[in-house]
Order: sequence, then C-alpha cells, then structure tokens
Amino acid sequence: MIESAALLTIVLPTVAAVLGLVMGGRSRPWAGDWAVLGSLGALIAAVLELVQVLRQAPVTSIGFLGRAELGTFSIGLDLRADQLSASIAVAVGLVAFCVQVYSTAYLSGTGTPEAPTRYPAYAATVSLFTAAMMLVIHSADLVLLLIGWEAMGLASYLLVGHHSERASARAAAMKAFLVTRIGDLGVLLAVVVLLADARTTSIAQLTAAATSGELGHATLLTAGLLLLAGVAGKSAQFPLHTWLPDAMEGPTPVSALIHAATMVAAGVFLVARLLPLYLAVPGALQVAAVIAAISMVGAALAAIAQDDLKRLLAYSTISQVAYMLAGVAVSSGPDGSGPGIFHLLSHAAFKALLFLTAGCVIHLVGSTMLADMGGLLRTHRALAVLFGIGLAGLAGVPPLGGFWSKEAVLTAAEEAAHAGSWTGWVVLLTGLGTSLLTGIYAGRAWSIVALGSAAKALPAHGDAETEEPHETLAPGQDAALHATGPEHQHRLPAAMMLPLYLLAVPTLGFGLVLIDPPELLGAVHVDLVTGVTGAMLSLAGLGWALSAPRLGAPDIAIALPVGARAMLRDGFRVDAVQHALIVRPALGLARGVKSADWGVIDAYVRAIPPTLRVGGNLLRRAQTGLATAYAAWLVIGAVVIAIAGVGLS
Amino acid sequence: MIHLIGPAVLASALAGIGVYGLLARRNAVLVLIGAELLLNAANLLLVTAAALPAGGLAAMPGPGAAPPTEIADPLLSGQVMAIFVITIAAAEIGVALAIILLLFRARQTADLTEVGELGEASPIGVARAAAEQPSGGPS
Amino acid sequence: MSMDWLVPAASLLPLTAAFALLALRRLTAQAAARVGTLTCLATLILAVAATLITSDTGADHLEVDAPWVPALGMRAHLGLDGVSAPLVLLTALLGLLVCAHLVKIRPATASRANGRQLVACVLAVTGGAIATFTALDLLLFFVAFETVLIPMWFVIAVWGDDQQAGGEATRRDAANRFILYTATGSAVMLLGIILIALRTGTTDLVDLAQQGGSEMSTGVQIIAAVLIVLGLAVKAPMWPLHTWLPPAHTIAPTAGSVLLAGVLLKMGTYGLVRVAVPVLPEGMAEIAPYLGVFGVVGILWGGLACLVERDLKRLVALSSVAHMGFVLVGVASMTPTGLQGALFANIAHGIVTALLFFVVGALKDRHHSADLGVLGSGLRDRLPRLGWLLTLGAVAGLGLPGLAVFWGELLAITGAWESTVLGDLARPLAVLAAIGTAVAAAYWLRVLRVLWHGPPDERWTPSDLEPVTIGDATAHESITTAPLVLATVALGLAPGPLLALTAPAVRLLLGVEVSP
Repeated sequence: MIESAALLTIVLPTVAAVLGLVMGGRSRPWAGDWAVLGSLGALIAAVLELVQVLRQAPVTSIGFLGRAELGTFSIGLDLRADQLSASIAVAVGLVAFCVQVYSTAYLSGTGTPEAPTRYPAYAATVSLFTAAMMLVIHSADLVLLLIGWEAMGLASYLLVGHHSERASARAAAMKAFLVTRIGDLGVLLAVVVLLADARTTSIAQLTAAATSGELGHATLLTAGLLLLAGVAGKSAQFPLHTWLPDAMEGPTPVSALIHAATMVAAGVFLVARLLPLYLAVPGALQVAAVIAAISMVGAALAAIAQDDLKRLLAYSTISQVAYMLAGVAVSSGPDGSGPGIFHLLSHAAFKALLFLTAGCVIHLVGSTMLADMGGLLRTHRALAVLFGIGLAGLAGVPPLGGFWSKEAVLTAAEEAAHAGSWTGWVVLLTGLGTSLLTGIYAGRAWSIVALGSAAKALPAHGDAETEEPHETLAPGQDAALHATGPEHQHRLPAAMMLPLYLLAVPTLGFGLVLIDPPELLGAVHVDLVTGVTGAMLSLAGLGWALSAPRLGAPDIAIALPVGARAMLRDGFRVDAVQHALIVRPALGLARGVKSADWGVIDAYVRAIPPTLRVGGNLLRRAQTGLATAYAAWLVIGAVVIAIAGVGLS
Repeated sequence: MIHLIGPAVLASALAGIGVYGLLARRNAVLVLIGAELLLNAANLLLVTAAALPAGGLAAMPGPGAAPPTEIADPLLSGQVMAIFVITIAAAEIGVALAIILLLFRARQTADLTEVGELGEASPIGVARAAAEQPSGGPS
Repeated sequence: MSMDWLVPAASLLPLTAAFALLALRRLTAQAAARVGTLTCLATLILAVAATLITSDTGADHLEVDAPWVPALGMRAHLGLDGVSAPLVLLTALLGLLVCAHLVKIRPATASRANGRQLVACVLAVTGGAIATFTALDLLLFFVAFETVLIPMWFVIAVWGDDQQAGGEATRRDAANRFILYTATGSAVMLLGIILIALRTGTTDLVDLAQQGGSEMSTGVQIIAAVLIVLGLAVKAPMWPLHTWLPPAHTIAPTAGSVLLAGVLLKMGTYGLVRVAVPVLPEGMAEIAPYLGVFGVVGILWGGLACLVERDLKRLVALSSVAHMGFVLVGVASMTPTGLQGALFANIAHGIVTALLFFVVGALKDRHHSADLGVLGSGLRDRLPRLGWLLTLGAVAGLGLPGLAVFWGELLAITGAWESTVLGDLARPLAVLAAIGTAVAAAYWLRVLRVLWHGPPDERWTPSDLEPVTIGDATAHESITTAPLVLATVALGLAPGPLLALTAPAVRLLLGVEVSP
C-alpha cells in the first residue's frame, strides 16, 4: 500500500505530462484536465502515503527502475517511503495542485501571436516538474535522486524561459540552468566518489556505512562538501544564488511552485536525507552553516531594497531556505533535521500563498514593479488580507505556522550554541538579526502594496499589455472575464482565488502539528526565551516598516543611502563578479580554442599537401635524364650499402 | 693454392675499370661494357669466396700447401650465384643492345648525353623542348 | 539447432543487397530506398534475434569460425558477445532509419548522381560496420574496417552539400580529408596488427585475448599499442586528430552524417575495447595516461569550440569530439566501470547524435543553411515538433540525467576517478571531464536560446508580402526519429538491460571477477 502510493506520486504526474504533451498538444481543455487531474492524483497518493507511514514502519526499498550493473558491482534504482518523503510529498502535491488550478485561469486563452500562452506545454512541464520532485524525495539511491534533481532543473529551465520572446527570460532561463548545473557538478562528482570508494549509492547503505565508520573520513568529507555545492546551487545559497532572482522571469505560478515552495527546498531535503553521513563529518556541516548564515543575512538585506515584488520575494526565499539549511546544519543527532524540515513545510505553504497572491496583484496591475502597486486593501480586501497572512507567516508573527517553524530553528541553534558549537552561535545571531530584517521587508511589501497611496490607479481594462505581455488576457478571455460589465472588471476568477484560501489554512494553522508531532518532527520544540526574542525582533521590524507611510513615504527603503540601496538592489553585485570571473574567461577561452583549432591543429594538416609538393619538386631534380648520372647514383648507393654492411657486421 | 691477393686485386681492377666505363663514357656500348666488367668483377669474387676453406680466411693454407679437404660452402653457392649472374648478364646485354640499336636507328647516335628527354627538368630536355616549341609551355 | 549463422548473415545480407542494388539499373531511387529499408529491417530482426540468444545463453556466444585464406592463416572468425551486440543493433537500427529517411527525402545536391547508388552505399556501410563489430580475427577486422571507408567517401564526395562556400572544392576537400586521414590511420594500425601477428603467430582475437599479451614483451606491447591506438584514434576521433570530422559532417548529406556519427566513429572506440585493451594490456597501461589526457582535452576543446561555433552541423560534429572524449577517458581508465561507461557512451552518442543530425538535416533542408544566424529564432512557435526534437537532442547531448548520455558520462568519470593506470592524473582528469559536462550545458543552451527561444524569425514566417512556406516535421520525419527519441529516454531511465549485457563481456575482457 505504501509502495503503490509512493509509486503513484511519481507515475501520475508523469502520465499527466506525457498525455498533456501528446493528447493536449492541440486541445487546450484536455491539457488542463490532464495537468489538474495528475496533480490531484499525486496529492491524494501523497496523503495516503503519509497516513500509512505515520502508522507503519517506513519502506526502504521499492523496486522502480531496476538494477544497473556497473562493472563489478551494481546499484539499485529503488524508491523509499518514510515520514520525511511523505510529508514533503504532501506539501509538493498540495502546492502543485493549487498551482495547476491557478494556472488554468492565469494562463488562460491562447494569447497573442507575439506572446502566446503556450498553455499545453506549460501544464505538461509543471506536471513533469511535479514528477521529478516526487522522484527526488522518494529516491532510495543517489543516482536516481540525481535523475529527478536534474529533471527538475530542466523543468525549471523550460518554465523560466516560458515567455522566451522576452530577451530577459531567455537569459534568465539559461542562467538558472547553468548556475545550478555548476552546482550539480558537485553532486555528480560526489556520486562518482561514493561509487568509487563505497561501491554503492544506496542512501540506506551509505548512511549505515557512515555511522559504522566503514567509510573513510576523507571520502565522506569530499562527498559531503561536493554535495553541498549541489545544495547551494539548487537551494540558491551563496555563492550560487544569483540565478533565483532572475528566475522570476517565469510565470508567477511557476515561481510559486518551483522557485519558492518546492524545488529550492530540495537542497535542504538532500542534507536532511543524508544527515547521518553529514554527522560523521562535522566539517561539512559547519561549512553548510556558514553558507546558510551568509545567505540568510545577505538575501534579507537585498530584499529590503528590491523595487520589484517578485524579486523581493525571491530574495526572501533565499533567506528562508537558508533558515532551513541552518536548522539542519546545527543538528547534533540523527533526528536533528526536524526543525529545518518543519520550516521547509511551513515555508512551502506561506511562500506559495505569497507568490500566488502576488500573481493576482500582478495580474491586476499589469506590472511586477512595486512602484506601480498600492492601495490593494481598499480595492481588493480579501486579496490584501491573504497577502497579509502570507507576509505575517514570512515574518514569523505568532501564532502562524511560520512563527513556530522559525523559532524551532532558532531554538535548535541556541541549544547547539549552549552545547559549545560555534556554528550554533553564528546561526543563532544571524537568525535573530534576519528576523528583524525579515520583519522590515515584509512590512515594507505590505505597506507599499496594501496600504500605499494608490498614486497610480489600477489600470483599466486593456492598458495592461504593454508592460507585461504574458500577463495579459487574450481578447476572448478578457471578454468572458469582464462580461458582466465594467463594475466587475477587477474581479479575479475563482480558479485563482480558491487556491489562495486553500493555502492560507496551513499558513495559519501549521503550528497545530506540534500538539502531537510525528516522529519526523520529534525533536522540534520552541524555547520560550528564544521564541519571544525572535517574535519581538520581527514584530519590531514589521512595526518600523509599517510606520513608514506615516513618516511620509510608503517605502522605507528610501531611507537608505542611494549607493547602498543600489548595491543592495543588485544583490551585492555578485552577478558582476561571477560574470567577470567565469563567463568572460570561458568565452575568451572558447574563442581561443576555435582559432587554435583552425590556426594551429588544422594548420599542420593543411601544411601536408604543400610540404609534399615541395618535397616532390626537390626529388624531381634527381631525374636528370642522363643515364650516367643514374649510374653514378647506383655506384654511390652500392658503396654506401657496402660500407654499411661492413660497418654493421 | 694461390694466394687470395691475386683474385682480389684482379676483381678490384675490373670493378674500377667498369665504374670508369659506366660513369665517364658517353657511348652507350662502352657504358654497357663497363657494366659487364662490374658484373664480372663480382663473379670473380663470388667464385673465389666459394673456394674458401672451412674456418674462413684464418684456415687458409699457405702458398704451395695442399688444398683444404673441407670448404666453407659445401653447396658451392658462390659458383651457383656466378652462373646466375652470367645468365642474367647475357639476358641483360641482349635487351640493352637491342635498346641501343633502336636508339641508334632513331637518332643516328649512341651518345647518352644526347638523349635526356625523359629526364625531369633536365638541361637537355628543357633546352630541346624550348627549341622545338618556342611558344608552348610544358604540356 | 545452432543459430550461429545469424552472425555472418547480419553483415552479408546488407552487403549482398548493396551489390544487387548496384546491378539493378532499372530501379528508381525510391524503390531502391524501399528495398534498403526492408533489407535493414531484416538485418535488424536478425541482430535482435542474435542478441536475445547471446544474452540468454550467457557463456555460449554465437560464433562462426571457418578458414578463409589458409596460406596467410586468415580465418573468417565472426562472433557476437556483450560488447558487439549493442553496436550491431545500433548499426542495423541506424541503417534502417537512414534508408527509411531516403524513401522520401533526397539529399539537396545538384549532382546528377543516382539515389539508388546512395542506398547501395548506405547498405555497404551498414554491412561493413556489422562485419567490423562481429569480426574476431584481426585481419578480418582490418579488412571490414577498411571496407566501410570507400562507400562513405562516395556518400560525401558525390551526394555532399555543394552549396557551402567554395562549392565543389569544399566538398572534395572534405571527402578527401576524410579518406586520407582515416586511410593513414588505418595504415598505422596495420603496422601494429602485423607486429602483433609476427610476435604471437596468430591473429585470432579470442586466442590473443586469452594470452593477454603474455607472448609479447612490454616494449613490443607499447609499440603495438601506440600504433593501433593511433590508427583507431583517428577514427574515434581523438583530439588532436579530429579536424577531418567537422568538414565531413558539414558536407555529408543527412544520411551520411547519421552513419558517420552513429556508426563510423564507433568503430574506432570499439577497436580500442576489442583489440587494444585485452590484447595489449601492459602496453595500454603505459599509454593510458596519454589517452586519458587527450580524451579530456577533447572534451573541453570540443565543448569550448561549440560555444562560439555558428554552423549547427559543425557544432554537432564538434560536440561529437567531446562525447567521444568521454569514451576515450572510459577506455583509458582500464577499469570495468570505465569500460562499461565507454561502451554505454558509445551507444548513447550514436543514438543522440543521429537524432540531432536528423533534426538539423530537416532544418537545413527547410532553410537551405545550417548557420545559426540564418536559421533564426522562435523554432518553438514556428516549427514546434522540430523544435521539441531539437530540444530533446540538446538536453540529451548535455548529459541530462534520465537520458541516455548521462550514464556513459557518469561511468566514464567514475572509471577515471578510481583508475590505477592513470596514476596521479586519475582524479584531475575525472574532475576536468565533469567540468566538460557543464561546458556542454553552456553550448547547448546557447543553441536553444538562439534557435528555440525567441520571437519567431520574421524571414521565415509568412507575411502579406512574401508567403514563406516552411512546414513542421512531416509524419515521415516524425516516424524516422521516433525510435531514436524512445531509445534516448528508455536508455536513460532504464540502463539496466544494456549494462547487464555489457558487464560480463567487459569483466571477461579485463579478466576481473564480480566483487561481492
């Protein structure tokens, strides 16, 4: 039963993707039906799986893609199902279902020839992504995990570049894939190291070998650090985080699913999954904690100065994922991943809610720029409240889910710090600092979007297509949407509103899980002092940012010096550094190689015919036509042979 | 048993005259005779070597001593080779004289320096081609 | 009943059909292509049957051993095992697809040459390649290896593209380069074969592999290994002996490019696995570091050159150099894992590159150029089917896990990492090869960004002034590429069967046992 549920979480979205591409290629309703049904099936299967694993023992080996014989040993491409996989599967299934429903309205119509919605391909790719993510969390083998891991990357690439008629989307898609690919080199090499030294990539066998000390420290440290590179790439942690803000070029529902709620959390999941291995090499965990601390503070600072709503949310994602990674990194026992995973689950809910509400706002405003937004509370009260719930979850306002999960992470860090771990102190202090910063940027977003001065009125129907071609509705759809007349022109379709309510429930009440926590979250608890401190800090930040409108401007960021603001808005210019250090040398090298290919290597080849011609001309000189001259050569040759014969014998 | 020096000096002399004839003479017949002399020098050495006693030069009996009972080459391959050479030389001279006759009929000369057209960029060939076809280049 | 006859039949059938087609002057090109398709289909069925028997019976391989030229001690010794079976299948499949492709699509050349003869050449290449892959006698291997060159030369020189800059001269240059490069390599390889034959007194590959080089001193083995590897490396091709490949691929018609990439390149690397590694183990161990370094340089060199290449066909050809670099690294590791990776990468490259050449050929037929600038952007909207096929080929080519190429690369890198014969170079080479996969991602994404993404190019979209009619992939094109698409995905998701087929053969070649 658990086995089939786990298999179905992967198979159903895959089938939906294939059917959507093959059968939905022409007919739009079919594509939508397949996609929604596939994600709904995955969600039901995941819930069934969770119910089962809460009652029964986990299943560590479910045959999936067979065994692969690699020379003298073989690896099994199997699945596993336990509380970790099942709980994340439910989160993925829920968000994917919400996003699929939301997208049927968000990407409705066929668009214009200049900006087609390409809905069938979009829906199939989202299904493919769901299947890949389910594969990652259910893999019992690292190579199988890598397959899902990169398939997610591919889906992310396709979806970020979905509106590829825009140059920025093309660039962002390529960047997203390449930066994560560079991180994934780490995963690839880690698999290589483990295959070579441990002769297995089964997660169960690896963790057993690591805890029993069968694997050498050097092997484990190498593999652990290499995997961290992949984690940093996928989870957008410093220094491989630069792709995530740019990835906001994708349609907003995709940002909600892939670049906020699920895929970016996969890196944290990987560390949690391999925690026994990491506990054997504390050095790797310390590196993870430092990376998380840098990303946490840096991204929160950058979020404060963003002038684009989606980029603000993207930086907040980097910062929140860093919380999760830090929560796992400070753990000291095999069940220590609880706080990090707890935050992962609650973050999935509130961040998906935030992005989907942001999508509604963008849909209404026709732009992603904060400067174009304002006064949402007056015009769309329900939407503004939902947005506020999401932001409160992000800031960690008690008693929302986000409060409990963030404070659980901070409590874990505090305990580690008291146990004498310096990384505990680093995480605790940066975490508390980031609480303040999170409060500030969450409050800033609220005060601009919901309160604001509404200086720029929401544009009337038809004005929207210039700024955001992809967000506009097709003429036909527009007519249907606004059929009831101008007074209803800003009403959002139910397919877009219902998922928001669905996501608001876990955002508000996720803390209730702690009343009777499952084994997975057994180690999760919130220390009173830490919890109160963290909550006070974020409330202080919130309050400060919310008071800004009374001081004259809705945007607290204008209080920053201009230079600092630009620096923060560009994310500390890490992009420029990477461009100068990697992209330009690589392109220069490529040009050098191309000219060397023709000018050096091939030059030798092309030199052969002229050389032969010159040599032939020289040898032709010997053919004088004088018989005596030939005879002379003959005699000389005979003498040389005679001398050689005498000399050699 | 005669001393080895006799045939050796004779063969060297023949070879020297043969090389001189081969290289210095212009008349084709004389060049051919030079080649024949060379062949015969080789023949002489072959026959001489075939008579060497077992053990080589060191076992050579002195002048006037009895000839050795065993020779180095019981199969007399030196003599056989000499007969081969004579046969081939006879065949060769037949072909060569025929060519020379044809050459003489065609050109009224047997001077080898006059017939270099087959040579590649030879002074004669180029000069003659230029003389015959002042306008045309090498085809 | 013995099924040994399947092995020679698989190579003799296409060869006979090739000669028959040359003789049948009345046949039209299309009918000839139909005959070729049927022949290759029959060959494929024979190959599948032979493979099934081989993988079922395990130890007892199909084998035919008859005297051929008794005076030289040459025997017609043919056999099928786990190393050769996948390549025979690949060759038969590609022959089938190419013939099916020729049924409807004619090479866009101005030449008056007959399409019937092109089909004959394709069949001759197919048969010769199958003979090469099944030969178990060194001299027979060499003869079959050479047999393939001549028809391939005709394919490039007669049916090649004459619309390139330089026209006819460029085409001749490409064809002559191909034949001179590979013939020179073959001559060098022949020297090595003669050396082995003189020192061991046999040319039988089974006997030679059993001796494992015990009849030859290390010095002789090194000389023989250098000669043979040089000869095979030209065909593979190994950096820096690769400069014949891009022109040959660019000029050759689609049929030629597919066979060149999918079949001919494989003969070089197959020879390394079949001849060099088992027959000359000590010699190979000595030159393995050089082979590994050249392989890795090829990976990076080919990848970097692709980053700035403008011609799509040339780009695919250069990416082949990079892919074959992984195969060379796998062979150079001399480990079971690495050799498995080399064999897997061989097959995967054959399938993926064949797919890419079919797609690029279709694009070139429609736009009369393979230049990225001429092809223009927006394929996903202009030609969705071809666009998705190109995307699949590209993401497979960049080694995406879950598609065929990934397994070959993973195993080759693993082999290099754990290799003992590579010494201190093992790990740097493995890391550099892994970086090569990131470079591959960069150049394929560049292609997709320029061609697949972007607004539909206005030159190729119909407008009121100038109706341009460029159709998407026809049903015929979709059907000829579908097997390659399926194979790419199937091998990527379920590598088990292919790996299980090659694993015992590889262990036998290297003389190692299964670890517990």
